Amino acid sequence: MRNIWKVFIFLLLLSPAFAKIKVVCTLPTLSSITKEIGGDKVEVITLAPGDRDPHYVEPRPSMVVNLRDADLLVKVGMDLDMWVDALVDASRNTKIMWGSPGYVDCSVGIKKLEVPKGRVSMKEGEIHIYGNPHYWLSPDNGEIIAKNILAGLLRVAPSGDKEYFKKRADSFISRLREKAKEWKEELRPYKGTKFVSYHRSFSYFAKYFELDYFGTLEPKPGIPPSTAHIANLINDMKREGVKLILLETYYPRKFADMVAKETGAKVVVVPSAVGAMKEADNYFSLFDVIINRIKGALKG
Amino acid sequence: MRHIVLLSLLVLALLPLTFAQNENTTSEEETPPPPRGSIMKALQLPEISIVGNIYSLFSSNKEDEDRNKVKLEEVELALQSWIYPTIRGDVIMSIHEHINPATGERESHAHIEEGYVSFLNLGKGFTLKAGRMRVGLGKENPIHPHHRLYVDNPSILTTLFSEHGLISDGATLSYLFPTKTFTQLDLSTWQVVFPEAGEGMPGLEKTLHTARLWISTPYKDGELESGISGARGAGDEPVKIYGFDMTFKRWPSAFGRDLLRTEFFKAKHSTDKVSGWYLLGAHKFTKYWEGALRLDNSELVGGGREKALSLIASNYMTETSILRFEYQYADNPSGADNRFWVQVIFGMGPHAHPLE
Repeated sequence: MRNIWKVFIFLLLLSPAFAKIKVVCTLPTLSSITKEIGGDKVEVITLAPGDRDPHYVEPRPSMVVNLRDADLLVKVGMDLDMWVDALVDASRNTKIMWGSPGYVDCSVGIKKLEVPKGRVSMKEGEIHIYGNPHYWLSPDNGEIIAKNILAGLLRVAPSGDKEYFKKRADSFISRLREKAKEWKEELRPYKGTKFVSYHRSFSYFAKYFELDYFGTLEPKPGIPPSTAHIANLINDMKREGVKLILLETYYPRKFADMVAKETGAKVVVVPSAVGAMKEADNYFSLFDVIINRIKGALKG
Repeated sequence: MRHIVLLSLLVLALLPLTFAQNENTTSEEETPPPPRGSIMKALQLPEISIVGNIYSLFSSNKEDEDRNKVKLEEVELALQSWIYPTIRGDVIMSIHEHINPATGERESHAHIEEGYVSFLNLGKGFTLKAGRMRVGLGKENPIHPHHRLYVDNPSILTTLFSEHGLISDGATLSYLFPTKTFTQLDLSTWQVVFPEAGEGMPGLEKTLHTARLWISTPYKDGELESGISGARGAGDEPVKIYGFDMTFKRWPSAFGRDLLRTEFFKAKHSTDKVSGWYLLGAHKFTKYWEGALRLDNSELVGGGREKALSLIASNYMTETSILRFEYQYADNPSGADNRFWVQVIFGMGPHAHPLE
């Protein structure tokens, strides 16, 4: 009987060593990269599905329970997923509050684009004061996100797991670099291609793959397309020969179709994040799907 | 010796400057931006925001003083910041018109609607809020008017808590149960500030103790929330209020949302007994448009009953600016009334409220 107790106490003492690190990610893109680094030593929970506009996620009380038990919070930052802040406050979990070891803002170290200068207001639409937050759509930035997540995991992980995370992060980064070369090669023939999208979701993508971001169907971020703006955009697209419209999965198609009809451009529905389409179920397939769809449209 | 003293004083005077310079050279790359980002540079300023609420009421009731006028209903000025790593401070000032119960005249009031500190981690799942707050009795009362899906309040809330809701000075101890289902218990003690004497339910003008149990769980592709609330006044003739609320929300598409909410209240005082409910259904068609329907059925303080049907359409221009239309048919002891509101809510600056 005494031996059984000894075994029981031994197992009890060992259990924390086998406990997985609980990571809560605001969006599936971050979850995908976290799983690449964390492997089977992390349990990843995603708060918002990938087929939603990440700007507009309604916080739910049930999300508080996930955050209460989390060791690490991984967020996009730059005010994109600020809906998580009220949930973190409600969770009472100081481990994941801003400035704590379990708080990971993946935008740290990103070379930010479209950072507004001077005084900003809603006159510019729903502008992000820290710049365009859709930075994960550049493989370069995927590497920075991975490094930020790794740094977070190293802060909270037991010392025995640290080498495991470092190795997996190295492996992810080297695979990403290889794939990025392939993706770049695939889009090289289309270098300088002008395109428009609904929202300005593809700035980092365009910069990395050397495409020319011509404009957006929204006149300003978050502001619905107006007749005057669409008319101007059609004229400009005709004049400049813009033949590609990238449409994020969650925006209405009618404005894109209207512009396509007038300009002869092709509308290509693309995922702007992991989970936005079934095929784009991880960080690698996200780029595969976008690039294949762009190539398909421009070839034909 | 005097030089040494002068040199020491100079060094001491320069020390804060040295530290300040060190702080300024901390690059953005090393420090993540603060949550609810509004502070671009290292300024020790709170987040400042303003929310305005303007409406125009057209009513068949010729005795309604607000009829056929454009009215600034309220301006909310919010100052919000962290005051310690786990403590937040929130001050929300409200400027609005208010009927003076003594004279019956409309007067402009500027008052602190809320001003409280939130101790967000007392350990073991507890938090504490102290100061002036919208009382957490039921689902809608704690929600600020500009966050609601309609222009006017449901009859039962106006009957019990007056036009501007139940606002009190006090403290709330909140406990998040360590369960897989979100379960939170709030226990509070208050000195009622609003409604003022003569408004709302009799007996509310004194000390009040409230409790609310809030449970929420994912259900299918949505979330099912329910709450039970209770309040008991102090004094010789205490008021007792019981409430039940239930909300179901689902998000069938990227911007779509369906909401079904009901609240029931029963209040008892030696001079009055009031009960009532409302049922609210809303459907968000697109990113920009939402339609809603509300049914009200409430006894009134002093006798009688109001029944109302409201149809509401909201256009979300941005996250903080809304254009809203509401038609209401109401039947109460003074007769039947057709009302139509046009409302504009406008927001400036970063504005946040706790989880609602």
